[in-house]
Amino acid sequence: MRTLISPLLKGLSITALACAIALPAVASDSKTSEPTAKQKVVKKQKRKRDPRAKIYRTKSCMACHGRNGARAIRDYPNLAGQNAKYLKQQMLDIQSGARVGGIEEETGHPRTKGMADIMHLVDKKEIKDLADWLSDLPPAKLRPPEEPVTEEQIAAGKKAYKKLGCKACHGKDGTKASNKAYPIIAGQKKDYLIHQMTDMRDKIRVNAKSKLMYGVIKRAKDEQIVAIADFLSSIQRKAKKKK
Amino acid sequence: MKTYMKFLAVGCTALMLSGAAYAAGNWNEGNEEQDEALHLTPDHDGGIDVYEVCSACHQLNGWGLEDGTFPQLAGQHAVVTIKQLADIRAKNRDNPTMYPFALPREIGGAQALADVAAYIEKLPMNPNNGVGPGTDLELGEKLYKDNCVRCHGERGEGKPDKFYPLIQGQHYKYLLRQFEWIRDGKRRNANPDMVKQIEGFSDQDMVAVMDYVSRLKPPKEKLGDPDWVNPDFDW
Repeated sequence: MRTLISPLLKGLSITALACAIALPAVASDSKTSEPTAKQKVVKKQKRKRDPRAKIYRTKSCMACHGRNGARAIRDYPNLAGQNAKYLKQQMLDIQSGARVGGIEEETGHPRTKGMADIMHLVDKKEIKDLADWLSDLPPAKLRPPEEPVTEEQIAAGKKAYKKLGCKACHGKDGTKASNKAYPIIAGQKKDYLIHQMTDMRDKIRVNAKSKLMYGVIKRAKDEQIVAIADFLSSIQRKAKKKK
Repeated sequence: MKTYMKFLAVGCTALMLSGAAYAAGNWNEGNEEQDEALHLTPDHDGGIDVYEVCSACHQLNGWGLEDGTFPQLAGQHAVVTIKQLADIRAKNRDNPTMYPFALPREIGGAQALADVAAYIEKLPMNPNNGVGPGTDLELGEKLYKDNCVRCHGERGEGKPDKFYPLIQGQHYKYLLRQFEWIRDGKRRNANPDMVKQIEGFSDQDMVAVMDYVSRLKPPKEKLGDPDWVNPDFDW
């Protein structure tokens, strides 16, 4: 019996010893790892951004308009840094069907259809929150145009912008709207700008303040519209100063 | 362009032959890209990359929305996902919201289809999908057994070898919308056999049978925990 027990005891004591040695090591391990775990939590909480960002991500806005409203796909507009009042009105109008886009040849549907079909996902409060949140974000960084644009073309756009009197409402180079209900158009994507100007000229887009555009835009020729879009889409907007 | 012409040709033939073409089953003619995707070996990391785009609507866990705006994708047979993506891409299934995301310039080519479809198939499914009103389940069950079981299976598990989708555990409102579109000819890539099978369904029949389907639970091993968070997207 003793012969059996003693190795057992020996084994136990060795285990105990091992534990005793190991324990401080474990303890010191946990001492160093504990703060990192806490740091992780803090980091996670920090990452838990603005609840309005969550609406943007979970109501599928991000799919088309890109992270932080600044990387929209296709001819969809970037929204970051846009006037909140304008954004809100446009969302409400797409939701109600008051704003309709021209027909997209590729699919045979109005350009607004893909968004109109899912706008039941947000209510008025969420629309307001989204508009406020988006308007405070830094505007999108310019991306190189798909096809290079010549200096002459940009100059022609600038000239047409001046000649048509766009500045009266959209400000110098489209960077500042004279009324918060009007959009800032500098730095917006070229194809989007072309479609909007054309849709308003053809009275397809008739919602909200669109009619204020009619008098001016009816005088614009196709090539002027393209030139203006080339000009505006080449302007890098500055981020708002932090309040 | 070539594939586009092929689709046009198929479409025209289908129109001309109408009923006769239905029997021949032109609904799944496929295209080169679909065929290619079906034979590629899927890559898991590639699947994660592509799925990030899908997740903006179908959610990070692939469970869709209970209101049926976006269907649950998790657990769907890879071949079905590939076929649907290829169909939307080829404008054979109308979906203005999703269309851009089916395009190669947003998600990539045949390999991307294979990757994301395999990834989606392995996602654990929503244990609490949206269900119907529960008022006419006996009729629903009878209709299901008489009309649907042969293709979609006892438990709505589908038949991947025939491109029949898994419908168990799907959100009721999504099921209802698709069923109505298939019945009324709005969903163009529907299987003509199904269109024929359900042509006599009344609105009441439709509600009853979709309600029943929405309550067909996936097997336990396919279900996720109600709080499951997709660890591939920790942000």
